[in-house]
Amino acid sequence: MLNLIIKDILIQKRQLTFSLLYLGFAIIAFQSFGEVMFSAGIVVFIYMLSMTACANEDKVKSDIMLNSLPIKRVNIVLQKYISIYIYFIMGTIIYIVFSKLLQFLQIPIKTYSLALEVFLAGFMASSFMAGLYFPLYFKFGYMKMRIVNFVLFFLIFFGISLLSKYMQGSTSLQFFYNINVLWENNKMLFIAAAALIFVTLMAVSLGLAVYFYKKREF
Amino acid sequence: MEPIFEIKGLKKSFKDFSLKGIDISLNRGYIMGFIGPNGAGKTTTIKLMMNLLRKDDGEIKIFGKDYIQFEKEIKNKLGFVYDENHFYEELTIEEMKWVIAPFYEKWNESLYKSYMKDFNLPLKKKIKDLSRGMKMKFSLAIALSHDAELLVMDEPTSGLDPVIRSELLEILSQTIQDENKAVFFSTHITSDLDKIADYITLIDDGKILLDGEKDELLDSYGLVRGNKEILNADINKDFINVRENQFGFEALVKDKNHIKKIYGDKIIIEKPNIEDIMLYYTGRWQNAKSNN
Repeated sequence: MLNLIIKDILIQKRQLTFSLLYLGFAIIAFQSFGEVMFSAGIVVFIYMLSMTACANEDKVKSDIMLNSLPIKRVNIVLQKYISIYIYFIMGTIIYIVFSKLLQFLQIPIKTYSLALEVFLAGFMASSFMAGLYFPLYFKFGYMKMRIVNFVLFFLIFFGISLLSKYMQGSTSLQFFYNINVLWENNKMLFIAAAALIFVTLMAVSLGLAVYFYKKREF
Repeated sequence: MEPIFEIKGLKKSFKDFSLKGIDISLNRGYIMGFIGPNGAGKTTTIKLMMNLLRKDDGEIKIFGKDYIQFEKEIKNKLGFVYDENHFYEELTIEEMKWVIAPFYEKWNESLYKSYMKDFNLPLKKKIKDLSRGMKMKFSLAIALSHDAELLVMDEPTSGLDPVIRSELLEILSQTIQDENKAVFFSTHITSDLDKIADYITLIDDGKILLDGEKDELLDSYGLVRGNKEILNADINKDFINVRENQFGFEALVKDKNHIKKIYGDKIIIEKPNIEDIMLYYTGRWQNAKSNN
């Protein structure tokens, strides 16, 4: 499993360097996003890496090779999900390092320390993006899903942008207001409910992806 | 002795092609050439064996075990080489090996290194910078470095120059010296099989047209030439296919001795090669010739 995860990083060395630089650039470019710049930045970062990995798999039809090796299909699917969180950890570390560096060098660019809500928003958004995309990817492959992943990316990104506007007070959506009330009233209950919904959705996503991939022909 | 693999009544249908219930089996210690024109069903059969396609009906047993139920165990003892390699182009040979090797329980690193040395493969070179021959040799090195008992090869020689093809065939001959191993080798370049195959299985349009021991086939079959006057319904029954031209006819017969007894000096009988047998059986002289 570990070799498959590292493989996904190795097959996109150039993209990885570019994505890491991008994350630094996102801090400057997403100034208008305020605190949620981390969430927006990390979603784009993960999108770039996971899509490049899937595109590279598709280019050489690696499914034929992987499924001729003694590997269970479930592990091939699981690896793609785990990789999302590896990218998330990498991106978080880079974000922290860049923000601290900007602060240390006293460059006049606003940076925000990583608040729990923002961290969780990034985590959830990245997971949902992967959770929606992967079952389709494992059923149809990368090429047929190009438009879907593009639309999905913009939906998630747009959602985060809306969240940023709400947090900065420029919009007053009832949905966000309700969430905020729930959060303020009972943080533990909120976290438990969110975690339950999150785990259920991701489990359904993983289950579907495995189901589709087991039935896939190459 | 239990066959190393056995296929019974295997069926698979696509929109424009179907595999119509084929049977194949191979014992340890032998090389089977799986021949047929392009689109005959060779790759479909191999993909079904590798569980890359799902069968509609039939049975596939490898090492005496069901190929799906014991898939991981079977693939640990199976080496594969396809006509196209599906390695990641951005990786070097060494990185690619590093990704693949941990999946095999019996990976033999020193054997792998000796193949790398013998094949003159540059470890630091990216897959995308390798020639077709080098990629095939790398596939072969991987297939031979984990103590595989069965090698499944789908058109491995396609697009290779004669020198590298010859090297590959030599390696396969050496591999089979271990009588516990077997090679299932699909190709439309039948001259490869003249040198190394023990058995021939011919497939066309999803049906097995012929299978048997290569030497027996070559000894019993005959390429018959003669005047068109002797052609009649009786003699045509013995012919697998007849080609007529302005000078006479040419046909393939299954039992050349029987034909010789009947027609004596009226006909000339020559020994066919595998290509002749394939072309007459499939009736695709033009197509198959142009593929070579």
